[in-house]
Amino acid sequence: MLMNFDKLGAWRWILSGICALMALFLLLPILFIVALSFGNSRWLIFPPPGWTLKWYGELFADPRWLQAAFTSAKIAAIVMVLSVAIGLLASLALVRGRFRGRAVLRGFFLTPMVLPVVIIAVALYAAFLRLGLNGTLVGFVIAHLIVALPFAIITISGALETFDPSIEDAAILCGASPWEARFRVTLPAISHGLFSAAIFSFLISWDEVVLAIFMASPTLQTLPVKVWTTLRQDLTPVIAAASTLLVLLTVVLMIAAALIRKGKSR
Amino acid sequence: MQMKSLLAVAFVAMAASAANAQQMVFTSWGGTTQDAQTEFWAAPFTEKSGTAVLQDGPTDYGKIKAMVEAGAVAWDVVDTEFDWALQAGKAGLLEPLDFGVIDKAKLDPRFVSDYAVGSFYYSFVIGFNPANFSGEAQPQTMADLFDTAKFPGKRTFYKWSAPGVIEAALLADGVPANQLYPLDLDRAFKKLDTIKSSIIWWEGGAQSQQLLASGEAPIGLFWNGRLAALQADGMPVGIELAGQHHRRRRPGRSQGRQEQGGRHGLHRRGDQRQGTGGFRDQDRLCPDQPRLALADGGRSARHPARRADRQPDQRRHGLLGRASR
Amino acid sequence: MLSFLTPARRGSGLGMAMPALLLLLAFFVIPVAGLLSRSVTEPVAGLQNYETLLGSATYLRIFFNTFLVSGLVTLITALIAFPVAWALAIMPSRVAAVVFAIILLSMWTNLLARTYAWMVLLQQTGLVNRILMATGIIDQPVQLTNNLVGVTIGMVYIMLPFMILPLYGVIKKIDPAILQAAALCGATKGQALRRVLLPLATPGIASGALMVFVMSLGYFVTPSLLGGTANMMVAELIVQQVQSLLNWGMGGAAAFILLVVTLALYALQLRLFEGRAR
Repeated sequence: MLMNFDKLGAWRWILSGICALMALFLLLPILFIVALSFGNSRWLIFPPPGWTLKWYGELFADPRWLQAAFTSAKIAAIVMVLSVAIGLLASLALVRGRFRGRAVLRGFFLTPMVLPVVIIAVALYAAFLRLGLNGTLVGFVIAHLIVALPFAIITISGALETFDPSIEDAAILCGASPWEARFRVTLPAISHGLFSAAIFSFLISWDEVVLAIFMASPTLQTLPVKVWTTLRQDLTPVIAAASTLLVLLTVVLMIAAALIRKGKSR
Repeated sequence: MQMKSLLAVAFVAMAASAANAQQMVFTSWGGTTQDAQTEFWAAPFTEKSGTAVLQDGPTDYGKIKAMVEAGAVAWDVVDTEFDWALQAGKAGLLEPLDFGVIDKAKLDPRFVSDYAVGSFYYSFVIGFNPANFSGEAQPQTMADLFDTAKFPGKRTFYKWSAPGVIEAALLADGVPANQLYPLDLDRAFKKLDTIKSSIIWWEGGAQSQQLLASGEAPIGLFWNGRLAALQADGMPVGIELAGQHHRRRRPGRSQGRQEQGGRHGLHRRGDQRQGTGGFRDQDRLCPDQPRLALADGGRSARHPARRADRQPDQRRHGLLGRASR
Repeated sequence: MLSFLTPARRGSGLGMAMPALLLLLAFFVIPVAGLLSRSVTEPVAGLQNYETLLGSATYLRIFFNTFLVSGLVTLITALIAFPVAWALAIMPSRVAAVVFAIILLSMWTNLLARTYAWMVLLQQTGLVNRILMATGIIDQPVQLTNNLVGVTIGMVYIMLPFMILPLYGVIKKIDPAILQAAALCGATKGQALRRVLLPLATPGIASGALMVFVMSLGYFVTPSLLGGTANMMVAELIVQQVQSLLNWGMGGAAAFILLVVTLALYALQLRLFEGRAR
């Protein structure tokens, strides 16, 4: 009865109402920011006295925004590749390995995920100063890799656990070498896990603020850093314009992902 | 492939830092201030000396300390607050300036130290949103800032105390301007306690503008440049400069010549007076009085609200030598 | 599920864990240990940083704020997430898909963009205050930013998906027949909810709540943009100590306290999780 929507009676409307309110709550800031980006009030007065495209003009006139977006994309792409590769190896070790302390190791691998990013950021910043890695691409990649890796490991080992290794054995029986079996049988079978791990890793790096604030330099800053400094220093509606484009990008990616999924299921 | 490109980038970055001799890094607080500094200080300097000036920011005292400790100092000249520069000099975070190169005679002697010299003035002024106080008497004195009965609403102050809010509290409490120092901190905090729940502290210029413009905090103590920027944007903002110290001092002289303590003994010379003058022109509303907006008994004069297209922040600022290694 | 052809040699597979292990040792364990060690060595050796932190009402209030906000955020997200996850689990799938899309959209929208939106929405002249005034709920604007109310709203917004998604997974797996059985035995809806559905969903609520609580404890961006200076949380304290006050010792000490609490809760979560897996 409680698990059957049609038999809920009046409760059905209460549940639907809560759901609708929550959806509205989640949508409100997103729609708002889109509206704000077209408002002509410099001081974020809403509803604005009039509408304008000038914030988009300013956004594209300032090469630093585009540069920052490009830097973000580059770092996120490298992080994505490394995170999936290292995460895959680590997951194979955790799921298939036979050694003492696997559970401990698994817990350890996931700690960067639970540890407050602030702590990692401050600690890495001090360490990178000694190594001269602050403000470099390598520094950014390492910092983001640390926080992206746990998500990759969770996703990939989750996929590996549901994959029966005896299929791999079958391939070996049929004459494949163990590594060939891994590459040609296991990898395709867990490709959805790898794919999710890649997306997670990319987005974590793309959206990451706290580490990036500490790693950034004048010549190398990511989009969130640019947004952050603008928020702190200028608070201009250009931020709303940039955010709107980010929302748009998210929507496009989600639709693409949905289409891919649809295409696959057919 | 990925690994290769990573290594290549790392190498380029190191090569770049080795080639420091032909460039220097200037760090400031960002926003329109740094744009103006770039245009009127850095660009003329580069033209004269051939040394490129890279801009970084925002100024971050923690980063300076960390860089010095790690022996990897990336910043050459930094725009800081003067009180910080005094402490940091003592703490060994800064390198002494070479006054054989910098002409002290051109500097305001009050803002010359071994490690930093003043470069421009700014004021803290009372700002208010007229929409919130229409018809009634408008806030004029520091005491009005602390009078929540007469001027209800949140008030906003800069979160770092030196200088500003402490002096404001004491003036509001009736301490004559010429007897402010040494500051009676207990008395100041007691006065602040009377409006404690009504204070919103601002951390950056943009935030202060936003608080005022939105009416979140309809009254407060602001950098004068930020209020001028609000006015320039057509926001109705009341600026009250009532009873500040009016000292006819020409700001903008303090930028001196700067030696970069490099191993190559390379001296960077550049008389930036001209450049500083340009910076000042950009900054039309810079009041003539140095430092803080201080009341001096009833002598009130509304400052002509001149507009500027671009309004840099004005904050006390020190130039500091290359941080020690 | 053990492969019989690649027999289980003791120690096998450890090599594959090496890249991740070395990476984390070099760039996670050692740096964090370094930071924490500074808490007892700077400015001089000793525990004075901890004494200052735990002995001063000002700093204790920061910890109190942190726990209060994290607790509130956890409670509110749980209260909203449970009915939503429940509804999602039983709704017609096309409607549920729309709600899911909205949840994912908000989750993947840039964190700063969302927080920025709340900054503007919640200010005195902001949309939320206007709506509340127009509907007569309040007659003058209430302060919603630069205090813990703003932080709580902003963080509930960010944490909701992290509570809804695991809870949805748990409720979806509940066998409807169990609830049918409860109905057949004469349970009213309220009884079935309290005695059957809620207990069955508890593991999901617990793990979601722990996750949200732990994430909230160390959150930096939202408190610093929506909280205002007077209402600091621990993450801001750490950044302020290190960045503005150059006090690595105090920063390290605050980090250590935060770390201990976080790891203790993490251990609890692992235990709960393992307990369920068995």
